[in-house]
Amino acid sequence: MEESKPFNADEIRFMVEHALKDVFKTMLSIDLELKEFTTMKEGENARSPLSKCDGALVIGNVGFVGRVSGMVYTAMTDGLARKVAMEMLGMSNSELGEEHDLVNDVIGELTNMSAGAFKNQLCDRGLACRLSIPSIIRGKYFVVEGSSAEFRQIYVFGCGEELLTFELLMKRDEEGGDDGQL
Amino acid sequence: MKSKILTVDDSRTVHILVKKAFKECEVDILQAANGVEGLSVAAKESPNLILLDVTMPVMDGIEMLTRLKGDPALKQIPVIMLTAEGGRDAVMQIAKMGIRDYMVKPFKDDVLLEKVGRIVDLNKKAIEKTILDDINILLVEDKPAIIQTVQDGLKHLPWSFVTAGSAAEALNSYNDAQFDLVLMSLSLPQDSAFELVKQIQTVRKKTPIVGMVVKSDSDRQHRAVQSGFDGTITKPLDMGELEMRSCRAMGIDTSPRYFKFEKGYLLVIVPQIESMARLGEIRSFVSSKVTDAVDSGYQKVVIDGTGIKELDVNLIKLIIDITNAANDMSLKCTIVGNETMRSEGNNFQESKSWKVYDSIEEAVAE
Repeated sequence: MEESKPFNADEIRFMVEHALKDVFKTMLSIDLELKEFTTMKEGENARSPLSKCDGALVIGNVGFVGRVSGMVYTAMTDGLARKVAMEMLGMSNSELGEEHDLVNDVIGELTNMSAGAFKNQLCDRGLACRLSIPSIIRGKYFVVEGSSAEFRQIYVFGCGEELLTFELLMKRDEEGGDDGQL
Repeated sequence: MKSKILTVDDSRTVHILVKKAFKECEVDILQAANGVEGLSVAAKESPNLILLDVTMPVMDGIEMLTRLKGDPALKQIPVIMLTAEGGRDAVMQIAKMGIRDYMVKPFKDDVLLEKVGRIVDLNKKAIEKTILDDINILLVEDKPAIIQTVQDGLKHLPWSFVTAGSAAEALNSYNDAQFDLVLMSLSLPQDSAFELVKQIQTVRKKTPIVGMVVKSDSDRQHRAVQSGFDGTITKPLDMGELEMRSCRAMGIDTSPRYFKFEKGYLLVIVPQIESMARLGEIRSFVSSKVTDAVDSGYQKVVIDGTGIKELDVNLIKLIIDITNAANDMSLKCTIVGNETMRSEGNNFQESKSWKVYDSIEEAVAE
């Protein structure tokens, strides 16, 4: 990928799919299936594809900054988040408890790993960048405004019988400032 | 002494996953949520290894690593990075700071264990074996006749032997395979047995070692205790005694040979007893097995004496002890036997009144 050209949508899609599938397979022994992906136009906004689902959504968010900067959001229903947490930690529903803290932490860490697995591929292509600390949002309806994003894609993955989404916003640092060196 | 592994990560999930990965190992897992806590725990606990994340609040992994390497008391602690940061440049930069390894998340337990195992002794917990399981024994003896005696004497067990005629040969074999037990002659030339024990324990500390020594050689028996042998047995070898001491050294549960929990009853198999040691072995389990039967809701004990060829007063006493233990716990006790038991039983006051059934089915139906 040459720095002077726009992001290659197909190449990005390949990297995202590889990253997400690797993380879920390694940590959860789950085979994700890419159902659809949408490349958004600059300034275009969209409600989450999961907003029609019942119940709250759990959204993990991690940023990366460097020669290329961006944000990723992984979203899934609360029900799927609990199943994922139980599987990853080897805990039963009662062991996991009613509080959200541990489920949030699991989703945050999965988002961290997914973002890392994706952006490490960018680094290896000469676009050095480093991760930020993950955060978690819970809610029913959410819209991400990507006003300054140069590139934006939303991926919908099948996770068993359910869906999760992965949203990626990126822009290149034109001035070649912070090169993401640690 | 257990190894200590310190994980420094802001994610509780990672702490739980690391703890799970090491659950079969005898290690202490310490935790810290950021670099500041990590330095504090490291200073206090002197861990054998640190697993360190990069991206953390308060103090990140790079700063913690820098401070670790700058502290004379802490700089020797080996560090493995465990992080989602895996770009080539980042890895190279951190590697130059003197880490032992670098793992990029996501990670598999077996890879983590393998990398950590190269640096610290994980002391994996041994799977408890019983007398019915396959056992692999390294037999170190320079006298072929004794090798033959041991192999013949223990052939009724599912134990396999690798033999070595010298300390050098034994060490080679030990390096190449996993053994459950080392049986070693203390009469190896130039007292090489004692040096061999040290070398074996350097390779893997946990394999039990039993020494075979001439009965009159109290000096070598004493040296064996001092050198870290798990037991000794005197020559000429009594096979029953050898079997028992080997089982004891390995922590093997021999009770499945004599006690079986069947459908609704505890079956106690009383064989022809050749030695007092074997008698004592069975007797040592009676109370606990009867108690287990009661705890499990069993109401009957069946003594199977069909293997007895010759009834003597010791066997009679054993059967009486089992019967009494069962009756004390309000369990009904019946005896299955053969014609020998009936006819010879009549010769003893204590066994005259026994009702001996021909089959287990009849004894259970009673």
